[in-house]
Amino acid sequence: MGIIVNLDVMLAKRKMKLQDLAEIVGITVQNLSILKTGKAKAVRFSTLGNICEALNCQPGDILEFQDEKSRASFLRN
Amino acid sequence: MSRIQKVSSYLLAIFNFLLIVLPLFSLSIWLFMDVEPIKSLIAEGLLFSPVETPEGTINISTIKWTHLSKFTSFMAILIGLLPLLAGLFVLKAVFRNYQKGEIFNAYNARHYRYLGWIFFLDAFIAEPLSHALMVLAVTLSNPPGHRIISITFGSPNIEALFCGILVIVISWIMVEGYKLQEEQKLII
Repeated sequence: MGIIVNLDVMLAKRKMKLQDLAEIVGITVQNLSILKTGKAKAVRFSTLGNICEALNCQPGDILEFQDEKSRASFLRN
Repeated sequence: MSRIQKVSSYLLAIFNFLLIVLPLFSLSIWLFMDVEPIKSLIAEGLLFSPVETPEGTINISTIKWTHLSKFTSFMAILIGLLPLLAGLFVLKAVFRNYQKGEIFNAYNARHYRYLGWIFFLDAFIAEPLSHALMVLAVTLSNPPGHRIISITFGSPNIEALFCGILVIVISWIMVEGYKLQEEQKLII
């Protein structure tokens, strides 16, 4: 799937730990880890809203669409 | 969820009780069939229904039992009981999971499929074999030429077959439920 989760980038920018974000958002660290590693199949709007509120960012800062072909050529270069 | 767990605990206790009592009960009837009150209960037809043979219906209490015919009829009862006991074992495994709160998982779905196959086993093998042995047992003391062995396929077999199909369809539904739950785990 072409959706990339940039949660780790945003966490690094905000200098926030995953545990702290999980606590603020109100979900388990395990679930947040599933989201961070890109294993999640879907994200609820409420979870996304809470994450954006906690990190003071937009959904587009966390989620990004990348075409598989361009991603492959980017990785090659 | 707690309601399922609570009822599962009661059902587990019932399954355990039946797994011990049913074989013991069958064995004790055949061991003490000449002893009161079992003798009178058999005579009244409360413990056994009359056996249908091609030559007519035979009441168990009118038969002159030999050790061989007693053993054959006990084996017939035991073979008839085996699918039920196997089914109870399978149900125990499933309800132990329900007790732990694990409803939709691959293990439960697989065990429901086993239960369906046990119904098929009952319909096609255990029930006809049990009936054939019972007919043989009750006619074993007859003079040569009047001893019967017959295999029948009737409405009890069709009932078991129908139950087997239903339970196998339920197992497929359980597999779908398991897939949905696995997917639900990945929705954050």
